[in-house]
Order: sequence, then structure tokens, then C-alpha cells
Amino acid sequence: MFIQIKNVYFQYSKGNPVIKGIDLEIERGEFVAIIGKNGCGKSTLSKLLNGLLIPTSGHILIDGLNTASPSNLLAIRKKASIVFQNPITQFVRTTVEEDIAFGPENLNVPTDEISQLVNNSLEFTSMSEFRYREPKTLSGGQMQRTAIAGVMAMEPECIIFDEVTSMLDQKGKCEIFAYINKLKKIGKTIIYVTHRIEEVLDADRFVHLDNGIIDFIGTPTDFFKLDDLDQMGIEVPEIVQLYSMLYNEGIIKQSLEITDISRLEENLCQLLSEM
Amino acid sequence: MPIVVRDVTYSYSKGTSLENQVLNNLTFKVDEGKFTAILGDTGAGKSTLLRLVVGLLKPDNGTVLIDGFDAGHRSVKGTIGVLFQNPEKQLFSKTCYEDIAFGPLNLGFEKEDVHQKVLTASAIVGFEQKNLETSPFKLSGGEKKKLALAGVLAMEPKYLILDEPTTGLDYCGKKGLLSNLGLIHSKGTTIIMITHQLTELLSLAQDVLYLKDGTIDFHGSVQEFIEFPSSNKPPITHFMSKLNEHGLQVNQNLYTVNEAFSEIKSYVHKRMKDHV
Ligand SMILES: Nc1ncnc2c1ncn2[C@@H]1O[C@H](COP(=O)(O)OP(=O)(O)OP(=O)(O)O)[C@@H](O)[C@H]1O
Ligand SMILES: Nc1ncnc2c1ncn2[C@@H]1O[C@H](COP(=O)(O)OP(=O)(O)O)[C@@H](O)[C@H]1O
Ligand SMILES: [Mg+2]
Ligand SMILES: [Mg+2]
Repeated sequence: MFIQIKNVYFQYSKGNPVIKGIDLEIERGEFVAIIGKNGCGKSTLSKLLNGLLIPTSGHILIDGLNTASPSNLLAIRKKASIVFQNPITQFVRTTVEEDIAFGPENLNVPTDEISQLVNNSLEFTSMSEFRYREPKTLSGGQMQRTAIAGVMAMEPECIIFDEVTSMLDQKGKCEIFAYINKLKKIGKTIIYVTHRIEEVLDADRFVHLDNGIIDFIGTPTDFFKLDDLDQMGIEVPEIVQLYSMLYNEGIIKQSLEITDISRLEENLCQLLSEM
Repeated sequence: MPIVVRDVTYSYSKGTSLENQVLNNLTFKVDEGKFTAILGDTGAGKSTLLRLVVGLLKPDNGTVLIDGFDAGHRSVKGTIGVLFQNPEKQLFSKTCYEDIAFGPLNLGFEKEDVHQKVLTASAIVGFEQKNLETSPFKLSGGEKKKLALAGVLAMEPKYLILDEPTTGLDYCGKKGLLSNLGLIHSKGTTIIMITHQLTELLSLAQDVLYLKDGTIDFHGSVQEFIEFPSSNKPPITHFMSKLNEHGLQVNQNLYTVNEAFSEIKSYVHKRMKDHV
């Protein structure tokens, strides 16, 4: 098992546990979505996964390495990296290019390889034209792309994305999803935190956090069968809502796959035009 | 005329080798009491435009007037409440309570009034009362966003200027905020809001300003925008036009799930009747 989380508790201050007993195993190559309300513990869990925070009790193993042991830290960072929720707080250098190089430099990657990694990451995130720009002068979406490029350049086995598309336009989002798909194809493990369910319909599993505990683990299809999604504060994608209404009305009789919006749209078009 | 932007051009790092023209000759007006949505791709210049409207930047050319004064003029400061894209920039106090209270205190309100305003504003954005005494820097991303918003709303400004206020909020927070913005607007507040989330906005806003590479690609009513052949369409509108491509003659200019459902339902019923 690539990631093992065993009975983990975490508190920032005494008496206020934020993570309250979590057990979760993630296999190499899995795509896991983490969802839940503001303040439920998603970012905290992300930081626990790469050793930025250490469990108050319980333990986390990344590829067998315990995150609580300081001597494992560098090895763990190579295995799992986070793209943070708020990019502006994580820039460390004065140009985009140097900022992207920062990660691999810290992992002691040879200099000539670094420039190649930086170029690839810039190109992939469509940020090449901004390479000499000071990161804090970028627009919000450009900052998010820079943060993603920075993590890409470290080539980790597992990437944890914490709400990375919030400031991107549709085109920017599509580029990121295309990138994630590529990562999936080459067997990387992806952990993706988001409030927008339509971004993760093709995840292998959903993990729903509620106030520091996991109250659902399962496939997206099973998730949408839950009958208290509204109380859970889940926003069902509009096309899925429309499909459910047409289905309940008896206009659409087939039960359709919902894990891919454009395929769902295509299927609905097909069925409706054959009527 | 409350907000007037006339022939405005803006470049960052003007006169240096990094000179970067971001806005090119923009002209538009926002009438009193209007709710205007600003849309556009990443880097189109939306946030820059906001900084000009609140007087944080000065245009290279042209003018920005608020109630007849230059943007940033002393006499308009208290009338504008602005939420920047990055809430971190707006949080500075020791406790969340102090952060929200800062605006109303500065405007000279009494302690009791301020207290009431803090509670009301926290409730509007769904900021939990138990967090009021903690430090802003200990909050989660979404909680920080709610806090910054509460600080802006507590001033009850005449003009409310919001840069992507719903990003980072969970569904309940977003729904709550949007319906409250609707309420605030109905009481006469002029609102300008930047967003990428079309559907929610279109049901609130009256006008849409669509920026593209620093120029105005479109400015008009929400209905006109839906019919405007731009690449950005709300998901439902996009789906309805797809249905049309498949030969279904349904109205494409819809954007809510309910409208789409009724439209498809009546179309299908009509088709069935025609068949028999
Ligand atoms: N540095 C910190 N010190 C103390 N408490 C913290 C700290 N960071 C987060 N918290 C608290 O821990 C809880 C979980 O925070 P976390 O950032 O993990 O939430 P989240 O699920 O990522 O929320 P969001 O959707 O808003 O990003 C929240 O109640 C938050 O206020
Ligand atoms: N302080 C700055 N210095 C130089 N360029 C900037 C600065 N702030 C923004 N820009 C650039 O101006 C353009 C428009 O940015 P912005 O107004 O933030 O866009 P939007 O809000 O539409 O995403 C972007 O290309 C951005 O990189
Ligand atoms: Mg978070
Ligand atoms: Mg912006």
C-alpha cells in the first residue's frame, strides 16, 4: 500500500482536535478526491500526508516511510508534494522561473536537469511567457499555474492538489485536468481536494470529510446514490441534476454513466433526439 | 452618475523594459443600484480594473469617477467596500472580531453598533461565531475568505466591489452569500462582482461586462449576454445548444436547470403529440 493512514488524530492547539481518528489507505496510481465543508480538515489532512504536520497520535506511512521520523522527510517530499490552496503564500523567489527551480534544487537535482524540468513545467502550464515575472505580480490564475509548475518540476510520485483551480477560468481548468489525466496515465497517485464535484467525477474514490472524520469512502457513482447530499452541502453538477430530473419524470428511461460530463451530455442528446 | 470609467488605459511597469499594457481604452458606466458582473479569462485585466475603480492604481490615460470625484479621493473612501481576490492581503488584526470591527470603528460607529454589525456580517457570510476570538491566520482557506467578506460587509458600503468572492467557499457558504448579496442589492447597494461561475451570477446580476485582453468585448444585459456568441457559456446554455446541434429545436438561451427541464419536457410532449 502506497499511503497508509492509521487512526490519525491531529490538533493545532490542545483540546481542539481537527482530525479525529482517520483511517485511509491509498494505492499507488489511485485518483482520490477529498471533499467536505470549509474547515472540515482537508488542508490539514493534505499537510499531514507529506510530513508538513505530524499526527498527534496514530501514524502515516508513505511508501512504508513514517512521516513522524525527521530522517524520512526528504524522501517523503520526493514521493508526495502539495500544490497549496493559496499560491501567494508559497512563492519564495523573485522570478517565476527561479521559483519553479526551488523545489528540485532542494531535492538536490543536478543543475542541467533542473533547467530542463523548469522548461517542461513552464510549457505545460502555459507560463513560459511569464518566466521572468515576479510571482506576486501575476494574476490569480497565473499564480495557481505557477504553483502547479513548481510541484511538477519535482516529479513526485504523488501530487496533492488543494483547491488549485479556484481562480482559473474554464480554459485554465481544462488544461489542469488534461495534465492530471496525463499524470494518471503514467501511474502517478493523485489526491485532489475541491469544492466543485464536477471536477472529480472520474476519480477512483471519493473521501468525504465531516468535522475531522471520514463519513464516506467509495466510488462517485455510489456517492451520488446517497440521499442526504443536500444536507451534506454537496453541489451536484447541473447536467447531472438535469439528467436526474428527466429520469425521475420518466422522459429518460435508461440509467446513464455520470462520471464523464461530456459523455453524459452526448448520451442525453442522443436519447432525446431519438424520441 | 455613480461610477464612470472613460477612455482608461493602464500599463504595469510603465516606462521600463517590462512595460505591460493590460487595459486598453475602456469606457463604461455603472448606474446607481445596478448589479454588474465582470467576466473574462484569467489575465484579461479584471482585477486591474477593480484596482483602478477603488483608486489603488491611477490610469495612464482617461478618468475613473465615483460620484463625480476621482477614484481614491478622500470623500469617496468610506462609500466603497472592496474584497480583493486574495483575502490574506486584507487580514491584519489579532482576532477575527477586531478584523471585522475595524471598518465600522473607523467610520465612527459606537461600540454597541459595531458589535451588532460584526454579528450581522458574520451571519451573512456564515462565519462561525466561535471563531471570532481566534487569530485570522489560524483559519482555513474558506474561513479566511468569509472573514474578509464579513469585514467588507460590516461597513455597509454604498458600493460593493468583489473580486471572485465565492472561490474557496463550500456550497452552503456560496449559496448563502449569493442570496444575501441579492438582498443587499435589493436594498439599493450598487454591486460590481468578478467571477468565473456563470450560472449563479447570471441569476443575480443585471449587467454583464465581458473583458477580453484588456478591452470590453461585451457590455449589456444578462439576457443579451446569454445570446452573445462568446466562448464562455454556462453549462446549461452549452447543453441546450448541443441539443440544437442534434436537431432538437429547443430554446438555447436558458441557463438554469429548472428552465432547461421545462423546455425539454414540453418539447418532448409536443413531439409525442405530433407523432400520434
Ligand atoms: N494553523 C492553524 N492553527 C490553528 N487552527 C487551524 C490552523 N489551520 C487550520 N486550523 C483550523 O483547523 C480546521 C481545519 O482546517 P483546514 O484548513 O484543514 O480546513 P479545510 O477543510 O481545508 O477548509 P477549506 O475548505 O476552508 O480550505 C479549521 O477549523 C481551522 O480553523
Ligand atoms: N503588479 C503587476 N505588475 C505587472 N503585471 C501585472 C501586475 N498585476 C497584474 N499584472 C498582469 O496584468 C494582467 C491582468 O491581470 P489581472 O487584472 O490580475 O487579471 P484578471 O483579474 O483578469 O485575471 C496579467 O497578465 C497580469 O500578469
Ligand atoms: Mg483548505
Ligand atoms: Mg483577478
